[in-house]
Amino acid sequence: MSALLGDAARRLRSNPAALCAMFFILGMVVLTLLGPWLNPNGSDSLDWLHVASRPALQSAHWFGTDRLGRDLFARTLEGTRVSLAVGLVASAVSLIVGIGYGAAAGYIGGRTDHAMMRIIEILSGLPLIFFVIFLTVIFGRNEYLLFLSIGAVGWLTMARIVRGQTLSIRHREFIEAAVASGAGTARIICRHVIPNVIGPVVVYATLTVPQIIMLESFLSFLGLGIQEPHASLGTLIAEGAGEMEAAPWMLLVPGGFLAVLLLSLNVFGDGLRDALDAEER
Amino acid sequence: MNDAVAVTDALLRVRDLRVEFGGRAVLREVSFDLFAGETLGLVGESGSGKSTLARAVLRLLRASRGSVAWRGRDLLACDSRTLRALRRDLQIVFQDPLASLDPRMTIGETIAEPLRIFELALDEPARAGRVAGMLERVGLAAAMAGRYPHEFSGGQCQRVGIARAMILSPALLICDEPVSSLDASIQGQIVNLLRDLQADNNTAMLFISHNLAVVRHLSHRILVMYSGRLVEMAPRDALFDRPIHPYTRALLAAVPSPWAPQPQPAATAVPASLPSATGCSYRERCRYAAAICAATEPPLEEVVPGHFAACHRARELMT
Amino acid sequence: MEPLLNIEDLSVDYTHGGMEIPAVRQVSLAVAARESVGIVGESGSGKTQVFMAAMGLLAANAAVRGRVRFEGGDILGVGAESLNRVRGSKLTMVFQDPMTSLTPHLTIGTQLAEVLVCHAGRSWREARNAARHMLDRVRVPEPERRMSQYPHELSGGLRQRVMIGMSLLCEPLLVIADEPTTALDVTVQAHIIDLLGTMRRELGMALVLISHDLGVVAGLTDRILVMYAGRIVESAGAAELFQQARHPYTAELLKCIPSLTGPRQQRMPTLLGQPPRPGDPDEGCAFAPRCARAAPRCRTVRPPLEDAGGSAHRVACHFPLPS
Repeated sequence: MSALLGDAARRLRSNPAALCAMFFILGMVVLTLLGPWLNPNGSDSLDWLHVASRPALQSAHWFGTDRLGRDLFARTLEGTRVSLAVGLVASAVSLIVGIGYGAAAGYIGGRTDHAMMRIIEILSGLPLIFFVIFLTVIFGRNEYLLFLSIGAVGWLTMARIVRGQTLSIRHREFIEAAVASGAGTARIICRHVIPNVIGPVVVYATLTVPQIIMLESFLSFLGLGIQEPHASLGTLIAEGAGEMEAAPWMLLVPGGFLAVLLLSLNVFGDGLRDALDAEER
Repeated sequence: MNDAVAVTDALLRVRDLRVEFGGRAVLREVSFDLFAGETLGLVGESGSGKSTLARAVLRLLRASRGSVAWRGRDLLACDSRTLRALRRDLQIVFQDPLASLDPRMTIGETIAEPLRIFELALDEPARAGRVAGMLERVGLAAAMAGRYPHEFSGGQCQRVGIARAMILSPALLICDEPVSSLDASIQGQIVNLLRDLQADNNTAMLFISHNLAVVRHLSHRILVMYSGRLVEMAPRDALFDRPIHPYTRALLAAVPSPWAPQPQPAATAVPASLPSATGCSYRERCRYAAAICAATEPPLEEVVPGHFAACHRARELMT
Repeated sequence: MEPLLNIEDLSVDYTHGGMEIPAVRQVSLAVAARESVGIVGESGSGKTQVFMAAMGLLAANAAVRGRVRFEGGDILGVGAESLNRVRGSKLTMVFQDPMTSLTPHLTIGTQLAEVLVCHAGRSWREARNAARHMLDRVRVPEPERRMSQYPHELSGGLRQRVMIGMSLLCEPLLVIADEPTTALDVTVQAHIIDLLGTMRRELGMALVLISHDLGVVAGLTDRILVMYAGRIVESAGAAELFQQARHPYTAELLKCIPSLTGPRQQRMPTLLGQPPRPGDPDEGCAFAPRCARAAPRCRTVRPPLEDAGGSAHRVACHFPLPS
């Protein structure tokens, strides 16, 4: 498996578009972490002298300010950090839970599979909004709740995809060969099933990050996610959309960040699939 | 190879094995014995149940009835823990060499897997040494262990499959059409390799193939299957020189050869309808079919000592 | 007189991952009207690619060079519309897998009749009658009932009969059969070989039979071409080839056919080594690494396909076996 990852990394390195996307993503991560040191303005400090001012390099506010005089650069960086964190953590959670659950259901099959899939159907039948409101009522409003609720929904689809992939390889001869060699169920799932379904699944995971970022902004918009004075890309865009005619930069700056982020994630996901699937061709 | 196999207790004793898929029997009451060091050839056309038989014997699929006694112990009745322990001695080589190797594993990892399962005391260098030795034994360079299956040709992949099956020196090797997907120039290499490995370990072998010439080359005894049943079972020379069952005869007559005149289609091409529930399932294609063939299904009987056939007219056809 | 199908200097290269992988290298061959030609070779020898290229059926990443003429007109690189004037009517193909070459959701009758409606402009009623007649001709039992059946309801042998019938509907001048019996059982194979022979005699068409099985080709063809690593290495009349193969590869291949009769050898005869993989360096004779007769010259200078005496016996070898 380690040699395999080495091969995949080598192929990924020879794909300029994916490499470029990867550097963009890494650059954004570094930028959001270093942001507070690069910029003298805090994300929640108000500058009454510059309310809704245009972006200008010579002023203190490179990307301008919003209606309350808060520095847009600082707020966008904070928003990107929050959105990325929600997207990555929730995707990772759904990936891990979904792969384990889906591979087990698909490989074991029969009644176990039946029962496990019914559980998924029941869970996905619950409306997300009610689910989040329900949790908010019980635990109060906080950001971890957002991770939890999005993760709780995300793994369901992931488990279904993994199960489908598992079913498609379950009757391949190499699985039969492993059974005939005396390998147990756990060994077959870990060493033969998961490595063979991981390619399409990882690609799907990179594509869920943008979806989750969208979902987060939707929940935040409803007042169930990130709240003032904190920001995510979703809340900033919603805010900017309201001021689109008077202060277009309030929409364009966070919107541009989101677009670059989503594009990079998609291109990187594609590159990753090509790198991981080379054996299949 | 030693042609005379000492008659001892059978290693593998299959009795009345029956497999049904969705209520339809694809394997019907198959019984045979396999002795240590013996090679049993199994021929028949696609859909005759050859592969089903292989998989049912190894319990890779569920039989609905019958027993498979391995050294006196019923594989179909034992619990899954015992079965997994017994698999050490029961190995299989598959038809499609590439599909039977995990595309995500190096061939070294694939060959090492049985060692990881059964020889837990082995440390990493010792295991790598065993794998290297096995690779060389099957005619591949030890340095190839780090490569992936897609980098190899079909014949080389089949060598890897054989190495995985033989690394624990099993007492039984089932070969399910191991050379059918290989080119003629490669088939001989693989067959010779199987023979050599068998001689080294005194492995019993069930060799399944639709290629009669290959089966003739390496089997001691031959089973012929048709439509899920054994229709003939005989020592090799008896089967090829004096076939009894009309189906076996048709099979032998149909093999084309560059030096012989064009083979004559021996039987009726296509049965008019699905095989009926009663009587001999071959009768629709059989030129010797009589009234009794439609009435009852002929049992597999010993026509000549050691030579079994399931045909009502076996004794007439002998003369 | 110009042969029916004339292939000159045909090369096929695949582009894969930025690499040029040659599949067919400068193959020239001709098929005369009413002639039956066998093409023999192992997997990867390019035997199928030659004719897929001629029929314009290769994947998009294949680059084809050379010239293919059918009935005196160019058919290589002429675009689908003019190609379809001959393809499917005068020049037809039978594939290895009769299951995947029939459309699963249409009845046999519809699929057969469609050929005539499209190519011969017949009415559906006429076409269905002709289709039923053809099923009878290719000895499909109960043709009336089969017309309304779907491909999955037929056995493999029957499906291949239907495919052969389909290829014959427009009374083609040339049928290319690519491994028509490989997916079938040996008893069924004998029937299909018999059928192909009979139909050829009755309809007087030319036949190209592509196969890895020398036994299958032997009974059906007048002339046999042996391919290795994308090139023709030997070409001779069928009987002459089997009696007196001149190319070491052909001779070894013939030795590899295990026999049902005669004494059993201790070991099965084999050809040493592996066939070259696509993309391996192309220098000298491709068979040299596996050849017992190879000399240093074989590894550097490629032997051309030259007359080797006998009736149109050609061989590409510096040191052919004596005749």
